[in-house]
Amino acid sequence: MAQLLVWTEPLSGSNCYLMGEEGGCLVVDPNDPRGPLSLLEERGWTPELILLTHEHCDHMAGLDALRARWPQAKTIATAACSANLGSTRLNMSAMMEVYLTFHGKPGVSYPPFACRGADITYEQTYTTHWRGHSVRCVPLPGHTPGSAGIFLDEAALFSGDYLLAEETVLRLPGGSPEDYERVTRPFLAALPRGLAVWPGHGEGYTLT
Amino acid sequence: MTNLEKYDKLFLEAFRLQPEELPGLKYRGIQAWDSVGHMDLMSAMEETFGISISTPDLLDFSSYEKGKEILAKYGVEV
Repeated sequence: MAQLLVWTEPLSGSNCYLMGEEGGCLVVDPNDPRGPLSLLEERGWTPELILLTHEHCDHMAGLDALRARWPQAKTIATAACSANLGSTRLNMSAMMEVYLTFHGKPGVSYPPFACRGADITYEQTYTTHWRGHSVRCVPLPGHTPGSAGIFLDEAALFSGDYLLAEETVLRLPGGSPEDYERVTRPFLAALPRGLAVWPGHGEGYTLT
Repeated sequence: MTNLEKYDKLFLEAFRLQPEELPGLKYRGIQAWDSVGHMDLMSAMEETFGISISTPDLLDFSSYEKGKEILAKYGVEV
């Protein structure tokens, strides 16, 4: 029986999702070097797949920590996300201290960092399976060039920085209102009712 | 392209302004130059001029004119 845990990173409020089953784990957005790793250690779960919804640092700051601890885990991301992990500008870590200051958290040290790319990349919809569950990854550019929606068993969607309580931000480096209008907005508008949404920030909910 | 032309181009493209709107332009003086717009502008500024601006200077970059003073600290004369 699969179990889903959420680790919310306190600075940015981003969510890391950890789905464990029989000692294995699927990780979505390892957002912090310590929190998700501690949860995995406590549960005795071994990450097998690490999925990224996009390249922003608040969604992948713990990626290298997980890779160092569990080098066999495979990271899956869009090709654009994978490429942009290595850019402090496009992964936004160069601006994170400014972001945090604007969000009422001045004085926090957040050194810029880059990560190496993913093990598996995709430019079109990519489907794989994990312990009997289907995992469908759909490129959804707009918020960033490398954004994606990740469907689990077609019943739940890890939506990254889409479908949040706040308006989708399209003006950060690499963001594209044109791509959002052309590709992503129509896709999101066509999602079925009853789909569970696990967003990159905020509480999960069901589409009605 | 001169540094001034590069500098102006960053504002014009980030905020979709006309050149005559640049003098006196201030952070939060227009809707587009909000916190998100500021981060986008600062990222482009660093990339265009090949510099890394400290966080205090990024936060002090509060107007079109002030930005020129800050860039001068990094050896970029606009």
